[in-house]
Amino acid sequence: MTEPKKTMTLNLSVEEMAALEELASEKELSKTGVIRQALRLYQLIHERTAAGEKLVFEDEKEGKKAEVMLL
Amino acid sequence: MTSKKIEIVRVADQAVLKAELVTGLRPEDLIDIDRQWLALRQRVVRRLNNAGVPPERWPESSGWNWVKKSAALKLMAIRGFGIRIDERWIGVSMINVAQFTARLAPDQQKPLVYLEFIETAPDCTRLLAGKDNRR
Repeated sequence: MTEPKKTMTLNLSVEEMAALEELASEKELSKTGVIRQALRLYQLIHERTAAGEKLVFEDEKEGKKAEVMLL
Repeated sequence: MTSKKIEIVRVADQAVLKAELVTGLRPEDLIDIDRQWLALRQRVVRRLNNAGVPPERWPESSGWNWVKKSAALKLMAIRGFGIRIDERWIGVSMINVAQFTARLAPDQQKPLVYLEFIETAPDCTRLLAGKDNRR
Protein backbone atom coordinates (compact mmCIF):
# COMPACT_ATOMS: atom_id res chain seq x y z
CA MET A 1 0.00 0.00 0.00
CA THR A 2 1.46 3.38 -0.99
CA GLU A 3 1.02 6.68 0.80
CA PRO A 4 -1.84 8.87 -0.51
CA LYS A 5 -0.55 11.79 -2.58
CA LYS A 6 -1.85 15.20 -3.58
CA THR A 7 -1.17 17.00 -6.85
CA MET A 8 -0.43 20.70 -7.32
CA THR A 9 0.57 23.01 -10.15
CA LEU A 10 3.88 24.78 -9.62
CA ASN A 11 4.58 28.07 -11.40
CA LEU A 12 8.30 28.60 -11.92
CA SER A 13 10.28 31.18 -13.85
CA VAL A 14 12.36 30.00 -16.81
CA GLU A 15 15.47 30.36 -14.66
CA GLU A 16 13.96 28.38 -11.78
CA MET A 17 12.81 25.62 -14.13
CA ALA A 18 16.29 25.45 -15.68
CA ALA A 19 17.82 25.10 -12.22
CA LEU A 20 15.30 22.40 -11.32
CA GLU A 21 16.01 20.49 -14.53
CA GLU A 22 19.77 20.77 -14.00
CA LEU A 23 19.50 19.48 -10.44
CA ALA A 24 17.21 16.65 -11.54
CA SER A 25 19.75 15.65 -14.17
CA GLU A 26 22.75 15.87 -11.83
CA LYS A 27 21.04 13.99 -8.99
CA GLU A 28 19.34 11.50 -11.34
CA LEU A 29 15.98 12.33 -9.80
CA SER A 30 12.66 13.42 -11.28
CA LYS A 31 11.76 17.09 -10.87
CA THR A 32 9.20 16.02 -8.27
CA GLY A 33 11.96 14.06 -6.53
CA VAL A 34 14.19 17.15 -6.35
CA ILE A 35 11.39 19.27 -4.89
CA ARG A 36 10.52 16.53 -2.41
CA GLN A 37 14.18 16.27 -1.29
CA ALA A 38 14.42 20.07 -1.05
CA LEU A 39 11.31 20.21 1.13
CA ARG A 40 12.57 17.44 3.45
CA LEU A 41 15.91 19.21 3.80
CA TYR A 42 14.35 22.65 4.31
CA GLN A 43 12.07 21.29 7.03
CA LEU A 44 15.03 19.54 8.72
CA ILE A 45 17.13 22.73 8.65
CA HIS A 46 14.21 24.84 9.84
CA GLU A 47 13.51 22.55 12.80
CA ARG A 48 17.16 22.30 13.86
CA THR A 49 17.93 26.01 13.53
CA ALA A 50 14.69 26.82 15.36
CA ALA A 51 15.96 24.58 18.16
CA GLY A 52 19.10 26.72 18.39
CA GLU A 53 21.53 24.80 16.16
CA LYS A 54 23.62 26.50 13.44
CA LEU A 55 24.01 25.54 9.80
CA VAL A 56 27.58 26.06 8.65
CA PHE A 57 29.44 25.78 5.34
CA GLU A 58 33.06 24.87 5.88
CA ASP A 59 36.00 24.74 3.47
CA GLU A 60 38.68 22.78 5.27
CA LYS A 61 41.31 23.41 2.57
CA GLU A 62 40.85 27.17 2.69
CA GLY A 63 40.14 27.22 6.42
CA LYS A 64 36.88 29.09 5.82
CA LYS A 65 33.70 28.73 7.77
CA ALA A 66 30.43 30.60 7.20
CA GLU A 67 27.15 30.30 8.98
CA VAL A 68 24.12 29.98 6.69
CA MET A 69 21.38 32.39 7.74
CA LEU A 70 17.89 31.38 6.67
CA LEU A 71 15.01 33.69 5.89
CA MET B 1 1.79 3.95 8.72
CA THR B 2 1.56 1.11 6.19
CA SER B 3 2.04 -2.58 6.63
CA LYS B 4 3.11 -5.33 4.23
CA LYS B 5 3.15 -9.09 4.77
CA ILE B 6 6.63 -10.61 4.53
CA GLU B 7 8.35 -13.84 5.46
CA ILE B 8 11.53 -14.07 7.50
CA VAL B 9 13.81 -16.99 8.27
CA ARG B 10 14.62 -17.82 11.90
CA VAL B 11 18.32 -18.68 11.83
CA ALA B 12 18.15 -21.08 14.81
CA ASP B 13 15.95 -23.64 13.05
CA GLN B 14 15.52 -22.24 9.52
CA ALA B 15 11.76 -21.92 10.11
CA VAL B 16 9.97 -19.50 7.78
CA LEU B 17 7.85 -17.12 9.84
CA LYS B 18 5.04 -14.88 8.67
CA ALA B 19 5.86 -11.32 9.62
CA GLU B 20 4.82 -7.77 8.91
CA LEU B 21 7.01 -4.94 7.55
CA VAL B 22 5.71 -1.70 8.98
CA THR B 23 6.73 1.55 7.29
CA GLY B 24 6.12 5.06 8.51
CA LEU B 25 6.42 4.21 12.20
CA ARG B 26 4.61 6.62 14.54
CA PRO B 27 5.86 7.79 17.96
CA GLU B 28 3.35 5.43 19.61
CA ASP B 29 4.99 2.48 17.82
CA LEU B 30 8.36 3.42 19.32
CA ILE B 31 6.74 3.68 22.75
CA ASP B 32 5.42 0.16 22.22
CA ILE B 33 8.89 -1.06 21.17
CA ASP B 34 10.54 0.39 24.28
CA ARG B 35 7.79 -1.12 26.43
CA GLN B 36 8.37 -4.57 24.90
CA TRP B 37 12.18 -4.41 24.97
CA LEU B 38 13.02 -2.58 28.20
CA ALA B 39 13.13 -5.63 30.49
CA LEU B 40 14.99 -7.64 27.83
CA ARG B 41 17.65 -4.93 27.46
CA GLN B 42 18.07 -4.96 31.23
CA ARG B 43 18.58 -8.72 31.14
CA VAL B 44 21.26 -8.30 28.48
CA VAL B 45 23.06 -5.68 30.55
CA ARG B 46 22.82 -7.80 33.72
CA ARG B 47 24.17 -10.84 31.89
CA LEU B 48 27.09 -8.91 30.38
CA ASN B 49 27.84 -7.24 33.69
CA ASN B 50 27.82 -10.57 35.53
CA ALA B 51 30.13 -12.02 32.88
CA GLY B 52 32.60 -9.19 33.50
CA VAL B 53 32.21 -7.68 30.02
CA PRO B 54 33.30 -4.01 30.18
CA PRO B 55 30.55 -1.48 29.27
CA GLU B 56 32.45 -0.30 26.18
CA ARG B 57 31.90 -3.76 24.70
CA TRP B 58 28.16 -3.84 25.39
CA PRO B 59 25.87 -3.43 22.39
CA GLU B 60 25.53 0.25 21.54
CA SER B 61 21.77 -0.11 21.69
CA SER B 62 21.75 -1.39 25.28
CA GLY B 63 21.11 2.15 26.51
CA TRP B 64 18.90 3.35 23.66
CA ASN B 65 15.56 4.99 24.23
CA TRP B 66 13.36 4.89 21.14
CA VAL B 67 10.80 7.18 22.76
CA LYS B 68 13.43 9.95 22.83
CA LYS B 69 14.29 9.25 19.20
CA SER B 70 10.61 9.41 18.22
CA ALA B 71 10.62 13.24 18.14
CA ALA B 72 12.58 13.03 14.87
CA LEU B 73 9.68 11.24 13.16
CA LYS B 74 7.86 14.55 12.69
CA LEU B 75 10.50 15.38 10.06
CA MET B 76 9.93 14.22 6.50
CA ALA B 77 13.67 13.50 6.30
CA ILE B 78 13.35 10.78 8.92
CA ARG B 79 11.49 7.51 8.37
CA GLY B 80 10.95 4.64 10.74
CA PHE B 81 10.62 0.99 9.76
CA GLY B 82 9.84 -2.02 11.89
CA ILE B 83 9.25 -5.76 11.63
CA ARG B 84 6.76 -7.49 13.87
CA ILE B 85 5.30 -10.94 14.34
CA ASP B 86 1.91 -11.23 16.02
CA GLU B 87 2.14 -7.72 17.49
CA ARG B 88 5.62 -8.41 18.85
CA TRP B 89 8.32 -6.08 17.47
CA ILE B 90 11.48 -7.91 16.43
CA GLY B 91 13.38 -5.16 14.64
CA VAL B 92 13.31 -1.41 14.13
CA SER B 93 15.29 1.12 12.13
CA MET B 94 15.31 4.83 11.48
CA ILE B 95 16.66 6.28 8.24
CA ASN B 96 17.49 9.77 7.01
CA VAL B 97 16.50 10.41 3.38
CA ALA B 98 17.53 14.05 3.00
CA GLN B 99 20.68 14.96 4.84
CA PHE B 100 23.39 12.88 3.21
CA THR B 101 24.87 12.67 -0.28
CA ALA B 102 27.44 10.32 -1.74
CA ARG B 103 31.04 11.57 -1.61
CA LEU B 104 32.60 9.18 -4.09
CA ALA B 105 32.30 8.91 -7.88
CA PRO B 106 30.30 7.88 -9.80
CA ASP B 107 27.50 8.77 -7.35
CA GLN B 108 29.07 11.91 -5.89
CA GLN B 109 26.46 14.45 -4.71
CA LYS B 110 23.58 12.07 -5.30
CA PRO B 111 21.15 11.51 -2.42
CA LEU B 112 21.91 8.70 0.00
CA VAL B 113 19.63 6.84 2.35
CA TYR B 114 21.50 7.02 5.64
CA LEU B 115 20.77 4.45 8.31
CA GLU B 116 20.64 6.45 11.54
CA PHE B 117 19.65 3.67 13.95
CA ILE B 118 18.90 -0.04 13.73
CA GLU B 119 18.15 -2.48 16.54
CA THR B 120 17.06 -6.09 16.80
CA ALA B 121 14.84 -7.22 19.66
CA PRO B 122 17.24 -8.22 22.46
CA ASP B 123 15.82 -11.75 22.66
CA CYS B 124 16.48 -12.23 18.94
CA THR B 125 20.21 -11.67 19.41
CA ARG B 126 22.85 -14.17 20.50
CA LEU B 127 22.97 -12.48 23.90
CA LEU B 128 19.52 -13.73 24.88
CA ALA B 129 18.82 -16.35 22.24
CA GLY B 130 18.05 -19.87 23.38
CA LYS B 131 14.98 -21.83 24.27
CA ASP B 132 14.96 -20.88 27.95
CA ASN B 133 15.17 -17.20 27.19
CA ARG B 134 12.36 -16.86 24.66
CA ARG B 135 9.19 -15.32 25.90
